[in-house]
Amino acid sequence: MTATDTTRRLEISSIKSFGEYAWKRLSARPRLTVGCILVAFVVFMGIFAPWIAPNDPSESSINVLIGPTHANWFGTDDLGRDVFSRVIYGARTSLIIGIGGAVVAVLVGAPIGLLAGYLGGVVDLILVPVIDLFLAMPALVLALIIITMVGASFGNIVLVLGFVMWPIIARLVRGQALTVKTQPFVDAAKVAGAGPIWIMRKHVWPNLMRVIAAQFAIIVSFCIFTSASLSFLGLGVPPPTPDWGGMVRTGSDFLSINPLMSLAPGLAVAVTAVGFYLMGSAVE
Amino acid sequence: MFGVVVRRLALGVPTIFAATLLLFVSVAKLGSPAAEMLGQDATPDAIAALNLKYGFDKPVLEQYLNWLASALHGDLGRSYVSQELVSETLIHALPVSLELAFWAFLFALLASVILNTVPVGRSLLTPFTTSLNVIGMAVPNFMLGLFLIFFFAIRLKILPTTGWVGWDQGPFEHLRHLVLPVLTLAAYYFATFSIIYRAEFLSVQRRLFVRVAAAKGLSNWHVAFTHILPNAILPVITIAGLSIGQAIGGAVVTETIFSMPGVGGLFVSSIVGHDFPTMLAIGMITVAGVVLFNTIADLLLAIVNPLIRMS
Amino acid sequence: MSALFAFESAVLMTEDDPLQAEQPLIDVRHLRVQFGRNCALDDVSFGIGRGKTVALVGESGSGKSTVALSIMGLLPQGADVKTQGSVVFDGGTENQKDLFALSERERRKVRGKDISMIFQDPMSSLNPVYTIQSQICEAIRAHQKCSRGESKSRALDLLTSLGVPNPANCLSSYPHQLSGGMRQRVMIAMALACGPSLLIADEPTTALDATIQAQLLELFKAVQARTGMAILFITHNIGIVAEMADEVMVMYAGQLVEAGPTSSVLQNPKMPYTKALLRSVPVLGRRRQSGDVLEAIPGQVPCVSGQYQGCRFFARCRYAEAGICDLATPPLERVESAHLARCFKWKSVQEAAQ
Repeated sequence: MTATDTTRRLEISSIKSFGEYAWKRLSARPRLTVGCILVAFVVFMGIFAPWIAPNDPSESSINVLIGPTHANWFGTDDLGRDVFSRVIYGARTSLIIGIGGAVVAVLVGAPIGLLAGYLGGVVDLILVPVIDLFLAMPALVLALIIITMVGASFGNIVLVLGFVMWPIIARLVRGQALTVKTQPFVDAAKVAGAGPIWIMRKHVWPNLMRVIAAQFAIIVSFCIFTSASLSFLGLGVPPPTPDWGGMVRTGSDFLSINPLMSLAPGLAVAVTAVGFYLMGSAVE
Repeated sequence: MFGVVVRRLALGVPTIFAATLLLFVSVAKLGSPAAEMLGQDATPDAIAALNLKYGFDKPVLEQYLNWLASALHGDLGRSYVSQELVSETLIHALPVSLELAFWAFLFALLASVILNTVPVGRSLLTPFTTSLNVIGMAVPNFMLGLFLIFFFAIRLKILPTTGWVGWDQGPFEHLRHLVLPVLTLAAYYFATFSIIYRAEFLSVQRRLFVRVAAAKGLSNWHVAFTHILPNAILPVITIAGLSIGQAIGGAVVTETIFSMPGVGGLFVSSIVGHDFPTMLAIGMITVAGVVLFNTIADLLLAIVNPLIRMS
Repeated sequence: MSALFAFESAVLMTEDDPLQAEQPLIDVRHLRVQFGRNCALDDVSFGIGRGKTVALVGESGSGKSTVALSIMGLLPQGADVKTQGSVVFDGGTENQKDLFALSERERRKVRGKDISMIFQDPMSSLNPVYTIQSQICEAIRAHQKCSRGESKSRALDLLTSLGVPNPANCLSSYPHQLSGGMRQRVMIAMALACGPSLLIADEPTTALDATIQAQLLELFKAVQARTGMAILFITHNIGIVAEMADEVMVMYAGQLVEAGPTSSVLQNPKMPYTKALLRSVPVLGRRRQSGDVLEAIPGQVPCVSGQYQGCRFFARCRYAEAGICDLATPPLERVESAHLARCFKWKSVQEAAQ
């Protein structure tokens, strides 16, 4: 019996139950665990909003700006709408914009990064400065300018966010493609007579998926962050859609009357963005 | 060292031109600024007259070159909205933004470096710093600002909610009004610096010269601050230069929440009011700022690192 | 034979050795270090006499560096690092210190002043952002109050005494401007800065060219002759052991397996691992005959955890006997007056060979 066997046996025997095993795995990655819980919570809110929300989010009443009561947990806003219900429905807007923006970013960024990294040469030489230029530009400022030009609508915001975030994905994918390209199995595939498209699809792409997935979650977080900032600056999703950033914007004027009118949606943005960020950064 | 600067600027200056041209062309595609300025009941004659006055009827490229020529002479045109000289407005707004950015930058740098270097109480400090990193990275500025206003200004009433007070009204009042905006803006800087610095600190800590320094009989504090810190801070300088762009976005939001008369607030109002000369000027300043700060960061890196300095 | 045993003051002993004529400079007793479940050092006891050079030999991963780092108090700190045993420095004198009982503050006063250490890789042991001068002066000023000018002239003297050409120029350089040999001289200068009575040299020449290596070994001898310090020389180079050491200790998997006067151990090894180790070294001037193969020891040093029973060399030992060697850990036995070995079968092995 060698010493290695002894070690292995000791490790296995020291775990007593499945519960302990699961706890060890989860507590070993607190970031991922917390991130998943937060995201699951928000997604649940978004999906089941009509059942969870006690009131119609766009129904006004004469009880404007009242503090928290039994009927209105977070009080009401300046039009007498229930803040709690609006926060719950706001999860939908935020999730759709965040995920939509990240999808656009991947759809634009991944192919560009793949082309630059895998083809190299002139293509790389042209694309890299463009990627760097976009990366150096303030995402929020860029989004503000473009939104002014194209007009603030739900679809436009998703497209603009994707357009602002794509360089992050492109740079990442390019880096990955460069490292994957130099690995022996790609050469082996070339020797076997595979064309560049086939190699990209069969060998480069699967390797990229994990990295993209991690970055995807982080970009969802950035998109939610940025779209909320846009709304806060008055260039977000047009009313009456319940939108967290917009709620904070109007609520901030009444901070001393009903603080929850802006703090609650603000906290919701923070929780969602932090959740996705934790998820992404844990896998990264 | 000179080469570093030249290389940066060789890439940076064309970037400034390209970015402003892009901005100019897209603004021009939006439609006649004259119609915008005169409102809905403008007569075609009035629009034509204004077009002639500002040169809106000329080809876009010619307009851009004209704008660029005067911009390089310091003439950024007049605001469509207030009819004031854009350069005049900017000269008043720029110091506000620069001061805000300066304090936030300084605070974030000191806090992130100190919190991640201090060799005692790591079991408490590390989770604390990690949480701050996540907050700074993922919680939007406006949210942070709002919470700070709510707690410190509305609940505790120890700091003013919003506004800006000049140095002329006493340094104490001036700085009191800056505390919350600086904290708000510093959050993002802090997270960026802290994440990079910490990773770097941990990798430097494993290097042999750190053990050698400890073997000399130096204290943990001494080793951490004089041996690890100078080596670990180098990448932070690069990142500080690169993240300046994102920080400008943060400044826009921060200035808006705290109603500060800075460039960020001006930018938002110029966008909302379709005040293109102001928007263009700020766009140009932003891009120039990004390029400038990247150059400064490279330069600093060369000064700090003897390996680069020698070559 | 008498020459071989002229090391009576040299102290290599087990705990049941009441006859110690003089207390050694450093006395390590029952040193046990655990990294988590992994037992890096198991009951290591030895002493180093004043002015002696003791070599510590063994494969990578046998725990040589762990011995050095635990004497220095530089083991990585963490919840899963456990150290037991005692290290008494300068026992029997006014300066006597029980190192493991000292506070971190007092421990620091020993580090670099009484005991110094030189590390294996000179390329990465100097801080790249400081000049040589500031790094040597730092070592001086860590323990002595003196002005900048004073410490600078001391640093200059040190480098001159270590045969550094153009020492003033060297002082103002940055580490990356110096060669590996020169950097190791700077490291030696830093280690000698406060006149330590024990120098721990952890493979100080392994990373260097053979010619530089020879120069540095001469330098160590010269410095030792001048200052009378003791040296714990960690190496896996048997040639260096023969050249430098008064005594040699062999480590295997965290245990001392053989110790004694250099000539005795090298010429007449008892423990099969030492035998194998010596056979795996090519000897200059001894032409190998056909069939006389340079031997490699099969397998690797085991990773020992928790309660380990049996001889640790069992799996790789050609003389191992199941039922004896794998049931209990053999004790470190006295095989000759100052020569200790850890093997159940050393007698029968020796007899079989004769």
